[in-house]
Amino acid sequence: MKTALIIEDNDNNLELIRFILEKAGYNTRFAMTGLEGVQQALTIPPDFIILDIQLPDINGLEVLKRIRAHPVGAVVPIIAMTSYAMAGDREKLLGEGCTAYIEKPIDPASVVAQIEKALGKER
Amino acid sequence: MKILIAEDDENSRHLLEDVLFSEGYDVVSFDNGLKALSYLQVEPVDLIVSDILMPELDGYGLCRALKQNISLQKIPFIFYTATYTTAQDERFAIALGANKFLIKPMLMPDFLKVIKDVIDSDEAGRGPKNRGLYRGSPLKLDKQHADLVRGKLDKKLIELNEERSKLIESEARFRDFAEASADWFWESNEQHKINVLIGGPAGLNFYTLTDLAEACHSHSSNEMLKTLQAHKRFSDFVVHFTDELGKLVYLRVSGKPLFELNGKFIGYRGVGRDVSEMVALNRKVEFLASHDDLTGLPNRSLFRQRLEHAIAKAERTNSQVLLLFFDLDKFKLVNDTLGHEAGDQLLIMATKRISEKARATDALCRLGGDEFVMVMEGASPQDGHRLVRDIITAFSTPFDIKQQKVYCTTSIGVSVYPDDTTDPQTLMVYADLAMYRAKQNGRNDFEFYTSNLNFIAHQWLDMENGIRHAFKEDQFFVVFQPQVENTKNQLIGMEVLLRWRHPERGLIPPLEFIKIAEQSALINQIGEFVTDAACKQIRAWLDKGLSVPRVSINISARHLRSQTLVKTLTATALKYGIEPNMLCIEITEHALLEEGDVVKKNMREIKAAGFSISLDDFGMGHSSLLYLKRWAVDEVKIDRSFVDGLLNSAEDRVIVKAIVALGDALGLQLVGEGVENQMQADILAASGCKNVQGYFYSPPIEAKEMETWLKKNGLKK
Repeated sequence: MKTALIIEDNDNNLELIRFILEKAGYNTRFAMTGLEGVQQALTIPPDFIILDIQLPDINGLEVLKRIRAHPVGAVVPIIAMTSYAMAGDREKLLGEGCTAYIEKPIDPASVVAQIEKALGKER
Repeated sequence: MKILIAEDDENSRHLLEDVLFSEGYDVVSFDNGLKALSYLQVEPVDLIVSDILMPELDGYGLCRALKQNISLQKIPFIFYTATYTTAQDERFAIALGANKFLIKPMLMPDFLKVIKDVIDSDEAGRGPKNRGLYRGSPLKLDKQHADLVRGKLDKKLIELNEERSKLIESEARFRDFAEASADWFWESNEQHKINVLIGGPAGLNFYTLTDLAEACHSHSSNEMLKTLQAHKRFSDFVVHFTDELGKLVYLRVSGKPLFELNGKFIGYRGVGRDVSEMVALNRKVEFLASHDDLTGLPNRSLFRQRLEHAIAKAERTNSQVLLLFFDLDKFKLVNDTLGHEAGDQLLIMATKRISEKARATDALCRLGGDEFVMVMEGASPQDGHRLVRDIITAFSTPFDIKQQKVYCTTSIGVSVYPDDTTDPQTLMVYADLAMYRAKQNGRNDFEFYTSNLNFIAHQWLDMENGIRHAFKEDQFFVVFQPQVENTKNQLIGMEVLLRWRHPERGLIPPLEFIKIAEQSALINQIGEFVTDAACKQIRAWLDKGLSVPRVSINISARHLRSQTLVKTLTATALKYGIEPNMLCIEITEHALLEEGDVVKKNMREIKAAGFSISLDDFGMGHSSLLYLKRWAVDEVKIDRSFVDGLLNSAEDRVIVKAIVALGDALGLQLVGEGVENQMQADILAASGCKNVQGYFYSPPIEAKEMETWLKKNGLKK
């Protein structure tokens, strides 16, 4: 069973994405701040990471950079979630090593398929 | 005045004897009537005191027998008795002609007064009127006598039976008490040898109490020995011994000394109980109280003892103690994320990783949480540096916990006794502080408390990296120092030495880097490099048609412990087509100190492969003739420190002479090292050591220059 680390500060969003992933057969762990997310990702690396871009302490882009800078975090698939998917943001994210991104608000019916598609691309 | 006592009870008899005797009477006494009668038939007495119920002949019988004997019938007769006395008894006694009938017990002054009265009145002729003249029918008398005695006997029998059942009951009670408090009984003789053992562990009867005292746990051996020597009572000594099945048994014994009436000690009698289970339980309790139950490591309290012990020892031996303080980075995160069970598992696995890297003598303890400390005894900061680096490397591999990879690194602080402080408590604080600094440095790092040591540690690290780099960049090369036959000034051999030419620092002295290389397998690489370079050069010289004397190569202690040493040496010689007998392997005595199996095997194989062996630094500290003989050493090098001292120290001259004599006796080749002037050369020659090496003849020189020597030598031939 694969484990996802969800880095997300909003309770409702977090609960929703957890619910969907667990129903689809994934283990989930979570972190509600960027720093906590980085630590978890590097200490107990998950199979993939769902990363919210708007976080209270350091933003998602910084989280992404820090995880990728470490050998342990260099290869973990990271899927970003962003509500204002502007073209520039996407490029920045992909440029820093983000595997894929999905748009907020997430669509419960298709989000798993989107994630699995992104993970498949990784393989 | 002589009084006869007939009395079967020993206590009563003694009392009467003593009292009468002290009053100035002569006393004879018997424990039955028949003995008394036999005596009286031979010896006259002045008065008779008799009990009634006695074996063989009772008091009435005695009295009747006397009264029928004309020569004895006049002796005054007193009954003194207590046994079931009735009024009939007194009447019968008086009827028989007794002077008095006294009832026990009497106060002795009263008794004595009666005795005196009887004697006085007898002398005055005022005895009983009917003495010897019983007037009744003998038949009637017999019957009366028999009835009285039978009555007494019946009563006595009842009383005896009662006493007996009381005794049985009392014994049973005591047995119950004894059995409840002890498992078995023992007795020992006056030499403390256990000679009676009822129950008890098999084989204990082969022991003496003195043996057991040696193995006393509850008290000191001395205390138990003293108690035994003083023949004092003891209780609850816990001792151990090995029973017949080889099992260690713990016993609790108590004993009471036994003496004869005259006070002579004859041994002990006592009880014992097997308390093995209790001792084992106590041990377990002790272990649990002093160890962490998760990791099995000593806990804080035991650690404190260990540290204090290590420091006390270091103070005596003038050595260093290192205190390493570990903290697992991110332990809390693992605990919070994966649960306590995972956290516990991480602690166990971390303990294992640290322990695996530590030396057997390093004591790892868990202080609590994710904090560990280690006491390294007899270790240098460099040892500590190496260990922490090994541990940090070991932590770079992730832990497998709950099918998750967990990356948990450790930060380590190191303090050094006595350099940082001599106080154990402070040493601990310093190590903790250093650990905190290491954490601040970004975790997964170590820090010495003393910044100077950090600086040196980094130098060590730099040096190691430098050596690795030097191999890659071809900065190492070899030089040769000639060995000369003193009297003929002839080249007889050479020693190959390593040099490092650093592009920026120039020539780096071997002293600066060899010691650091010896701390790791780098020294093996260096040994292999030197061997290869030497063989390569020998080949080149041989190809030029030069005759090359024996070439010595240094092999370090660590390299001598390498499984592949001889294989590599042989392969290298073969590679350049060089006969092994052209090469001499130089080993320091120190390398042989650690006589592991590999060292033994290597020493044998070096000889078997055809190389010769030279013992370097001979005479420095650990010289053992055993080494020379056991390893069939071919050559001994007299250490430069002795050569140095030849001029000024008579002692050094004696030592050199002794080494030479030894070498000659064992047929060893000798080489004097570090010869710097003519005088030293002369003294060495005079002492019998002709082969020398040193700046006086030549410093280590490069191959080209060595070639000149070889040619010159060649010409001489």
